[in-house]
Amino acid sequence: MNCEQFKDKILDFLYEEISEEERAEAVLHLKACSSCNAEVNEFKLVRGDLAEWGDPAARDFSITVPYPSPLRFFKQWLIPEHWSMRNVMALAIASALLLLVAFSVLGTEVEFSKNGFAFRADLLRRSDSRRSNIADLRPAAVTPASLPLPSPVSTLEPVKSDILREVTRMIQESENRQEQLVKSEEIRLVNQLTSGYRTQVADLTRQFNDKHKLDYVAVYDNLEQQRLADLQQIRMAFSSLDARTSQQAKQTQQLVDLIQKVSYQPK
Amino acid sequence: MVTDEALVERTVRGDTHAYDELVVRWQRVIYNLVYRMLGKEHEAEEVCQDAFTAAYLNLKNFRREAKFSSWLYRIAINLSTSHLRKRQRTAWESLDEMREKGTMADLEAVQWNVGPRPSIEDHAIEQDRARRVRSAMDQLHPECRIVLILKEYHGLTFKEIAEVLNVPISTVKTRMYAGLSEMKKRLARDGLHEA
Ligand SMILES: [Zn+2]
Repeated sequence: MNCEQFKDKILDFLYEEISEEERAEAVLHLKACSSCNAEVNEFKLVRGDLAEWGDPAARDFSITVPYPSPLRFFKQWLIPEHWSMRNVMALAIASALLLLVAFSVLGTEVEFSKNGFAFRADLLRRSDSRRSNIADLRPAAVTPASLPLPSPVSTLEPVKSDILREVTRMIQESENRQEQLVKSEEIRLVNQLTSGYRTQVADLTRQFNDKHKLDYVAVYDNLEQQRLADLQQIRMAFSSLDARTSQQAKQTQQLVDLIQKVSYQPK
Repeated sequence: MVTDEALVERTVRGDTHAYDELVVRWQRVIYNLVYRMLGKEHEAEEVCQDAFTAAYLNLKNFRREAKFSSWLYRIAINLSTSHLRKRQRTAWESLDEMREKGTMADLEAVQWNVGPRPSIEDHAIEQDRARRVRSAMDQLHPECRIVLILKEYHGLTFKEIAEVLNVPISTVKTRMYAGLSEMKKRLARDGLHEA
């Protein structure tokens, strides 16, 4: 081994990452070469100095790793990693729609009560629709044998009908009351208008008493036409209000109907 | 004993206790490494924390043929290096700022901040020899410094260091040689040992 060969191996020699025979050759060279020997000794001194810098004093500090919640593990298991949130949403909506269609085809009914909820699906639509609405309040004919689950429907049905009847009555009552209110308001306004015109006509009569009768008649006719037109306006306004009110009542009724279909609160 | 790689496998499957075990095994080692790179305890703790977090979050990118420790070393070294760069940048920025203001009196203080020197309260009674070694190490180029640290204080083989740093073994040895030669000069100049 010459100096150049030794310099190639000096680090391996120093840190003992060298084969046994190469080590022997290196030792042989060091015995013969003072300059290589000196360099090795200097490096050994440096290594000795480096060893003076001991490990830093142990100070306890805790590492916090941002572990995922168990829910995220479930999500990772449920949803493929490369899927975007958009894909997931699209799939969720699509499957919800599919379920809706399937449920409606199967004639599924879901009933909620404080005891839980009942679920039934008919493979074939029954001829007598079980759907109840305000117009048709007959209690649904439930045949317990056809139910896949023990259902509270049969016991709830009469109570439900009672409630529906009660709600219908209340809506009707409210509608009647509103109708009466509108009518009386109309009458009040028309009376006000009429008395206003009467006063005006009386004034005119006094004014025209001393003048030509013709003028008086013409002005009076004019006034009367105006009065009729005003009356017409009031009538139209009230009839449109009337229509709106009954439409609102109808909407309320539909809403109650809808709520009744999905939820049930005993009296 | 369960191998690190088996613990990694268990962590990837969702066993967080397995990763806790890896943290317990390597926390002190990684801290020592980062501390020798940065020289400040609280910064070293911060980078150490970041290293374990980064390793955990990137565990699925870990190639199974490598050693977990080598991979963890690499993450910690990369974070330390970027931390040093940030520190350098901040120091230069404040230097520029000072130049603009025309107050060069504090220049010494700024330079003091560049290197990973210990704060006074950190090491008030550090031994003299150790302090000199340390300040000599601080002045090495980080590329040489990390090789010396991994070799002298972590006992890695040249092959392992090459794996950690992702460079050829010959490069590792070149840096090691340069580092040792530089240390020899600095320590001699420092009067630690007269040649
Ligand atoms: Zn020689």
